Amino acid sequence: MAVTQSQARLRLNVMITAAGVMDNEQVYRSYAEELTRYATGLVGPFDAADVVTDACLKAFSARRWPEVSNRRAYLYRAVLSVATDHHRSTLSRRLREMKAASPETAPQQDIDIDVLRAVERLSVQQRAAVLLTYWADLPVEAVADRMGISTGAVKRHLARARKHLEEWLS
Amino acid sequence: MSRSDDRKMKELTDRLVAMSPEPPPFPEEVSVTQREESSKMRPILVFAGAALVVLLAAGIPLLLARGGGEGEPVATTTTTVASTVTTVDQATTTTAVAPTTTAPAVTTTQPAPTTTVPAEEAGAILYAVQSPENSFTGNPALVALRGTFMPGGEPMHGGFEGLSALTAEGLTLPDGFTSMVPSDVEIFGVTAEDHTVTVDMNEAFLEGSGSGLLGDFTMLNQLIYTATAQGGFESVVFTVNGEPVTTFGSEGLDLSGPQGKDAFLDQVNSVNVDSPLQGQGDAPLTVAGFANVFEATVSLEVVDAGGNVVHQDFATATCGTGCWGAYEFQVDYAFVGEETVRVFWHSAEDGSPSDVVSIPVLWDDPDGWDFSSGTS
Repeated sequence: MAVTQSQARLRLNVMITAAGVMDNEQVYRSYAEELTRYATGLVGPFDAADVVTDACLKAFSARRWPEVSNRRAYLYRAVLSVATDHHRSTLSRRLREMKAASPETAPQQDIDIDVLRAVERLSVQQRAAVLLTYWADLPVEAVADRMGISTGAVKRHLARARKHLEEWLS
Repeated sequence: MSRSDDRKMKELTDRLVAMSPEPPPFPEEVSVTQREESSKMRPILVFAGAALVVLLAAGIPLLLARGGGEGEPVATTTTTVASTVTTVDQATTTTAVAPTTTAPAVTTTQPAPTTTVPAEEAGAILYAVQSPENSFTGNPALVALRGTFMPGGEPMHGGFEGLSALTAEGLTLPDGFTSMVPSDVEIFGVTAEDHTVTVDMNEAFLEGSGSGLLGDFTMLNQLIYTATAQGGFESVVFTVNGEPVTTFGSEGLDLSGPQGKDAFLDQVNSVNVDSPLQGQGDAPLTVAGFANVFEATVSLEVVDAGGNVVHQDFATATCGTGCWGAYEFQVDYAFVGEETVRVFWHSAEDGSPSDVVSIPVLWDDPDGWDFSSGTS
């Protein structure tokens, strides 16, 4: 049976779109774990999965996504962007809720309250600078690139984070 | 920072990410998101989309009638069908979220969403306010600050970035400074003509500062001085949804005409600072502003991190004792960035520093303050 021009186009489009979906899924599977860890550092363990999902959805639907060369860095920036939009007091609220919750309804995962209380004092930008510097071991230029800010701003965020964490460090 | 502190920071981050939950499943609701975001598109894009539909509707029969236009309409149909097939294909490979992905199968016929991810940091000069020490009038001082911020949307350009920063969600100012511009005020657009800037805002502007008449005047002064900080502009016209503002704030002020930089000067401190206190290297620090002080004599002190006065100077403003004049200092001091500059005048009665404005100096930090840092 002969294939018409329109049927050929239909198949081509399906193949192209399907290839794009596979590509996104592969990218996602490659970076989902580290992005979730990064998001945990930014917004806490309670909302990390939601932040990663939102960030990936936004990134995948961005017009320039197909042209992005460093998709890992782009996804990190997307996670930071979504985390920044996240309500600032969410972590504090979550901790209060957890404290008030009965043992049966409390989250099952291991929660390090001391660490969360310390990190609660930092802004999301400061958390990002700290995480990328000390967890991801990136140099300041790479941290700046990953956050989409200047190196001077990274240094400022780090200096302010250290100041806020002084008690924890002492 | 010591190696010990570095180790502790590393330990902190390791313990933090150790709480990480399992990664979420691959998010497949892309088409749902596209549809939701498309519904929030700007009116102009909606209009453009509608125009495209009209053009296609008109063009398809014409092309068919001419017998040569099979390609385009078939291609449009094909795209829609392809999307449907793809979505179904995704659904077959998914688990829990699959049912939600089947509904928006035809959404690719809508224009692609305009995404803003990721946001870019922007630089700005804005005017913040400070309650001066030993104040004669109780009026706040206007102080220009330079810094960076993360815009919620597309920031203003052409020297008006400060207006975006001033109205940005989560604006954070250095210790000792505040803003009377409520966070729900939104700037729709800025236009400049001759020496006047027109700032169009949402209706939240009409409510004023929410802190009484002095707060309203202060809010206006912040907006006027921020809008005219760069570009040599002299006055500002405020509009709300494109309409002149005739009733503003707690007293229903009429702001329908241009508001000059001197419109509300009776409600500011006698000493104000226009130059962001930043510098680098060996260059002298410029401290400039406007004042209305006894015998036009403005005094300045540099105070180091230990609270010691390490530099003193005075300057004569271009006018004083009842009129406003400009003043300027060139402070030749080896700054390290931990100093505070105090600008004031000496009381005629007892010589005490009056209406004192204290501003921390930023050195070798061209980006300035971080206006978006939540807890700083």
